[in-house]
Amino acid sequence: MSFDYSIIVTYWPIIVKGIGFTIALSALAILVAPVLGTAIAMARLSRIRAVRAIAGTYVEIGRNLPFMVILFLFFFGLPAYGIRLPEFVVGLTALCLYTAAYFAEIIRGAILSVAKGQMESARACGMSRFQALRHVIFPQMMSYFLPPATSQAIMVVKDSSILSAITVTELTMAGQIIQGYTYSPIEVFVTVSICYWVICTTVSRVGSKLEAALQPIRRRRATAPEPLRVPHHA
Amino acid sequence: METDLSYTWEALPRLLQGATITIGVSVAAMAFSIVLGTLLTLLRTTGGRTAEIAVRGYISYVRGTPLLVQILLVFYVVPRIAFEIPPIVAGILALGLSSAAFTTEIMRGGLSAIPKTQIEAAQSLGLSSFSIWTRILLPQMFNLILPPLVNEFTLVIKGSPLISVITVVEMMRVAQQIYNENYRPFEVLLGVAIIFFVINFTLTRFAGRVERRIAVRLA
Repeated sequence: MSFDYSIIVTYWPIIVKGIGFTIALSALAILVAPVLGTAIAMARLSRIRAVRAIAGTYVEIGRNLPFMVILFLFFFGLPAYGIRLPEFVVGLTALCLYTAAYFAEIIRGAILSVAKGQMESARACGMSRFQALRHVIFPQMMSYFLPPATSQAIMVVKDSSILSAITVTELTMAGQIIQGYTYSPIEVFVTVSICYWVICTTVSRVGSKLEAALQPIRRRRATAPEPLRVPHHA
Repeated sequence: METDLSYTWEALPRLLQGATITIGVSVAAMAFSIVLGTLLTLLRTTGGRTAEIAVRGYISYVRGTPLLVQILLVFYVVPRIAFEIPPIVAGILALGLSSAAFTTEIMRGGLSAIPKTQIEAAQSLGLSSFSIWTRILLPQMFNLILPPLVNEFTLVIKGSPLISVITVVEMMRVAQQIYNENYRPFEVLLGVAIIFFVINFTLTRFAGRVERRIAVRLA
């Protein structure tokens, strides 16, 4: 098996366009989903039972269905109700609404993890409510929010590949188009997967940088545990 | 066009047949994932630096690329470099190879929860490193990681409709066949959604119960 670089050299404009589309779609979803997620998380923490139940159902549906099924439901469901939108709008909407369910859980966890007494103590120290939120509650929330949010952002980039199934010309679709011209799947999909890897690794880096930058106190970093080692000559 | 749920009801028997393929494929992929995950775990803990770097590279690659692209790669690459395989085997292989990376990480977590003193105790009793693995570490590890493994299984199930892209006739593909006949995609897909929901919701509840039980036992 040989790797024919000329294919990539010839078709790079399609790949670059695909990368651009993937980044744009993912960026929009990563910006919108946490906003929706916050609203859903608030609803899940509401005092009104019905509101809690609706938000809870939303989250359970999002978390228990494959994204592909949700995407297809939107893709075929919207036209059935007379709503005709371009594919990428349908795809982006489905991606945002699906990811919002996951962000809702992340945000709810972050809110619940900050102890109640923190607000009371801050107020007792003479801070205003806003000051307490800004200097005490929010920074603590961020350290619970950012690590899972970063993983979720990476999931968004990866899930956006499924939009190729409804012919959105993002990176995976670009690969399939070139594969259709050249019948060289190995060159094409190895290249495509390397592009994804670079995007995802960048997102992960940005996440860790943000986490470090927003860290108010030098708290014990939750590093992954050392792998256990068993000596050979035991 | 009004939504007519009678089409959903009509599609259910065939969808359920498709669901058995979905579950079968997922079970096979998960079994493969656990075997490969265990091997990778053994490799990274006993194989020295090179092995550790290789395993880490593998995990990083799988985590950083979409499952759909991995499936397409396996589907096209295996016949080129080895031999022809039916799409369903390529699907199981891709789902399993991908899941193995996550299983390996889960196992790392499980192993780190076992106190190191147990290994020291076993060594001072003269157990071979093989016995330490098979009698002390692995059994405890599998007990500890059962809940995250069940969650991983739901992720495999959620990834399984993607293999419809490489023409495997699982539930998603069956749905496509049905709505190509009756032109009622929304109603048919609603049936697919319901079946996926029931399967995954049951599994996550089960994982939660097992988790609580293990927590009680460890307390």
